[in-house]
Amino acid sequence: MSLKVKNLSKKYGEKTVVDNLNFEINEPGVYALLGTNGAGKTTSIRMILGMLSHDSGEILWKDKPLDAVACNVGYLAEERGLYPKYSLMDQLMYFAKLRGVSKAAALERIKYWSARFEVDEYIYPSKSSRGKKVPPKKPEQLSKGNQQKIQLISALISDPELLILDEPLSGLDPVNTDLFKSVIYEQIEKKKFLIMSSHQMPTVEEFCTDITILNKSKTVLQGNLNEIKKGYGRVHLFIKCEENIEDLITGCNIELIKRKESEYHLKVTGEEQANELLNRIIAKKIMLIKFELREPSLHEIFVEKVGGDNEEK
Amino acid sequence: MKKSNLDGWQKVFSFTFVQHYKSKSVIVFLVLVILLAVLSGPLMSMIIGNSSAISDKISDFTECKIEQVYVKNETDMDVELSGLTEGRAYYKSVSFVKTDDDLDTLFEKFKNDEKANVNLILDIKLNDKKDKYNCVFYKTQDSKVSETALSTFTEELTDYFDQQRMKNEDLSDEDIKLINSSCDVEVTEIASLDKNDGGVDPLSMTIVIFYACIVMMIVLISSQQIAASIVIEKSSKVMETLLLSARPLAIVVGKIMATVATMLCNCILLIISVLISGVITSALNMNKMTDSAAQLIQSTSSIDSENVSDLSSSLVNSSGDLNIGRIAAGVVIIIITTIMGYFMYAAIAGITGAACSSVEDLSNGSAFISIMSVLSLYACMAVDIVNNPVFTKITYIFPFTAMFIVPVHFMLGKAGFVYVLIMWAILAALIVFLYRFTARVYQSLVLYSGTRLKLGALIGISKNAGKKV
Repeated sequence: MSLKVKNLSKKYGEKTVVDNLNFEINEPGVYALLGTNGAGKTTSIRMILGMLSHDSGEILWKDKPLDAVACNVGYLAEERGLYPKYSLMDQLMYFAKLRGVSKAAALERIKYWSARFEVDEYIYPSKSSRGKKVPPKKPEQLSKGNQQKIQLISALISDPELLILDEPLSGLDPVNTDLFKSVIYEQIEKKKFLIMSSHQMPTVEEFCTDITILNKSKTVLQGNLNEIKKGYGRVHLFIKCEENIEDLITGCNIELIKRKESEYHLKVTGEEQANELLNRIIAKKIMLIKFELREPSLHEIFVEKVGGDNEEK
Repeated sequence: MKKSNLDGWQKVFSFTFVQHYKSKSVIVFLVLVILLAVLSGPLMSMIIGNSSAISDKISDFTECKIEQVYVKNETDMDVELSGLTEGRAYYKSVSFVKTDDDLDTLFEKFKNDEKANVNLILDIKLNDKKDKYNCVFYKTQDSKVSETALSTFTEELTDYFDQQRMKNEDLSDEDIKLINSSCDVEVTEIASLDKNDGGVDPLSMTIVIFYACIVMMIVLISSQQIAASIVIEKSSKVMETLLLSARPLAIVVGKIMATVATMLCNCILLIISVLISGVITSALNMNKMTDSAAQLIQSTSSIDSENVSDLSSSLVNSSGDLNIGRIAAGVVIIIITTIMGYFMYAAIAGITGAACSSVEDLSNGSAFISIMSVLSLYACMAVDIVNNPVFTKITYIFPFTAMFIVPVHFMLGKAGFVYVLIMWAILAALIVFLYRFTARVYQSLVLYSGTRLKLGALIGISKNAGKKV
């Protein structure tokens, strides 16, 4: 079971919005589609799902052209959408029916997920303190976070094999972010294939094994995240100490990326340069609180790959 | 247009249909309309029924209460009046009794007879100058026979008497009809003789405009409903969720069918309400009916063909009976044409809704539908006023105007069936074209967000869609 995206391209008039996108997901897990705003992530997702036509290329799911209407695919769109006036239960049942889920299975899943996301009160009627039946709230009365939970339930209602999440964590508070993360972990454990588009790099780093970074419609970086990081090497040095060490840093010809009071983010050429700086700090008997040499984070890689172009812009 | 493009339209249809009737505003509106329809008849009946002035004149209209008519024939002519009532349910209890008694004896008999209140005396005689027949009716003062029923009976009896006396002169039915017919007077300008036909027939024009107004209302209300429903789905961003499970064409077809179904259901509910109202009203008036209502009902039993306009004569045959065949064909044509026209405008409304990104855009976006339907209405009026055969034929062929005018012109005998076939062919071709066009552009449109797209942009999208995978 695999998803293959081959030479996918899309133009609006003369403007290319997705240029020759290629990637493959062969193992269950989360694949990250990253990029700046307008890089072509959502357009790519819509083309994969067949919502938008593409000028060239093909999308294969289990070695056959992917037809999202016919296959069991779940999708959480970037722009959350619910009918503002219709009851949530009706809407979820409608989405389930459209996905070909039986009524009994849909009711069971709605019950499970509504309890999991703690949104029962918005789906089922409740009882007031006087024992009267109180109808659930209308979608228009729900907070953005709760609307997002309902959206995710609608994406999960068919228990999809392939789940595409476009910015799943945007606009969520930390508690709900953790709740969403736990659901994503649950899907990973169930050996589901996930594609996730996000701007929250630490979250992507937490889940994803493989990534594609898009910039201005082109793929600028692609591959296994660990291997990409290894390729960069341990060149990021983080130091926290009680005195000013800028002279020592300059003396070692080390690039200072950022300083915040007594915390330094440095870029070294290798372990030898880092050791030289460490020796000088110790020689001067400066109290060292933190000394960490590590690979670049996804955030740093992302900024390095697309930041320059966007700054020029 | 692939069949698979329509997969799932039934699910969209059922959801849209059910949600329409779950809306509180729709429920309140329907309840009010149904209550109004059900109660209006009985309430009116009760209000009228309680009026003492009118209730005095109440009579049973289903059967004439006159039982015996004493015919005193003082002429030399042999008169047989029983033919008037033979085979007519309304007059089944009426019998004619020939009498030679003098009037005073008959009057005395009436006074003493228990059934006096259901008897009449007809005295047929020549006037003093002996140049005219007189039919004089006598009834008792407290007769239970209503004035209207009596008036109708006496008029019919007099007419029948006239026919009898003419038959006695060996005149045929055709001769009698010709003698009785009135003379039509027509003044025509010589200059206008070269033109096709004379003046505007007000009855025909009223029917055409009435029909066109109904079609315009159906077009405007349903188109607005479809376009608004699509814009709301777009602006609430539900469309992207729907597109995962159903193709764009299935979504738009499901919505169109749901709008058709809701309109049909509303019509059926209204008709049932009116029928219930009629049944209740009839039950309330089982034993009493106002003279005016009785007169109305009796008058519908026959149509005076002389009072019907020339054009409407296509609906009424020479004997004054309704031309059921033509009316039935006309009704079928109206239904088929309305459905086809509805689907044409629905496709346009679907594209209009998809080309707009917000409800605010929709008022400008739906201008085309409003303008076309209003222009079609004006064209219907102009056809009768201008009375130009070329203009009329153009309106018959142009699909937007044809659906407003051809069916009703067919019923009125102004347009032949060939024009109906031409209109259907053109409408069918246009519908197929519009739905193919919709299938091509809809995918791009439903996800589009921005200023309203105009026709040029839509054509561009359609062309590009043809090239893409």
